Amino acid sequence: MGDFFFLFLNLSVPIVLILLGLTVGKLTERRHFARLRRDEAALAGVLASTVRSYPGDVDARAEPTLVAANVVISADYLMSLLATLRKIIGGRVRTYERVMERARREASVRILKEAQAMGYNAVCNIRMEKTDLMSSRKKGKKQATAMASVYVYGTAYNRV
Amino acid sequence: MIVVSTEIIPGFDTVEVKGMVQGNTVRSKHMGRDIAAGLKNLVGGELKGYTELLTDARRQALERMMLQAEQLGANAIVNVRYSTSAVTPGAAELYAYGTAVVANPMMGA
Repeated sequence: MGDFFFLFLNLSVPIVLILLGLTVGKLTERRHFARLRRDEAALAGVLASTVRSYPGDVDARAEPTLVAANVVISADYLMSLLATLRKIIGGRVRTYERVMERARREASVRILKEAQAMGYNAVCNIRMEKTDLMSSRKKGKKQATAMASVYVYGTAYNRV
Repeated sequence: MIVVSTEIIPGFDTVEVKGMVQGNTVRSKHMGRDIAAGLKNLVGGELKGYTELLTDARRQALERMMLQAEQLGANAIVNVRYSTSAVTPGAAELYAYGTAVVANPMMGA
């Protein structure tokens, strides 16, 4: 009887975490994607490009300026668990694909928002980089939950 | 000061190149933020503590670079790039570099 109790106790933590992933994690993700779609639609007027020149006719009265944004998005326990299982047979890790996508899109939205708030209507020469915050885990230690840490920067300018 | 990630500034002529300028900062994670992030790691979502940490670090690197450009007598920095490296476990370096120039508004523009 006592053995069952301890087995239950040991299993309860992962089970609770999986349930959290299924509920809170799923909900956060769905809300985030919905918000990204809304924001992207609202920012459709801001032209984003990765070219080094300035597409369109530039309004020289407004000086161009650098805009940048960071985002750190964490995966939840369930996603990490699914990814670990996926690693056994290999293939696409969809859960992490979504985490990366959220981080990139969020950072892009933020620079466009920043540009728009400053009165610009275009951002060119956009670059994306990743930052490495979690390489802190020592070898042999338990792997921490994955997180995507990206930053995006570009030059905001006014297109006529 | 005009800071851009492109090689040219529309409406401006680059009259003098003052040289390369750079700014960096190494930030380590913070115990309290780690605990908060650890909790957030369980349910997923944005780790706001880390986002702020990196945003601060990025701004500081940029400010240091601008200070250097100012000391060189430049009024603009072109072709700015950001980079990061993990120096030691738990700490990240943010690095901004660019070319300090003197840019004058184009005549007749």
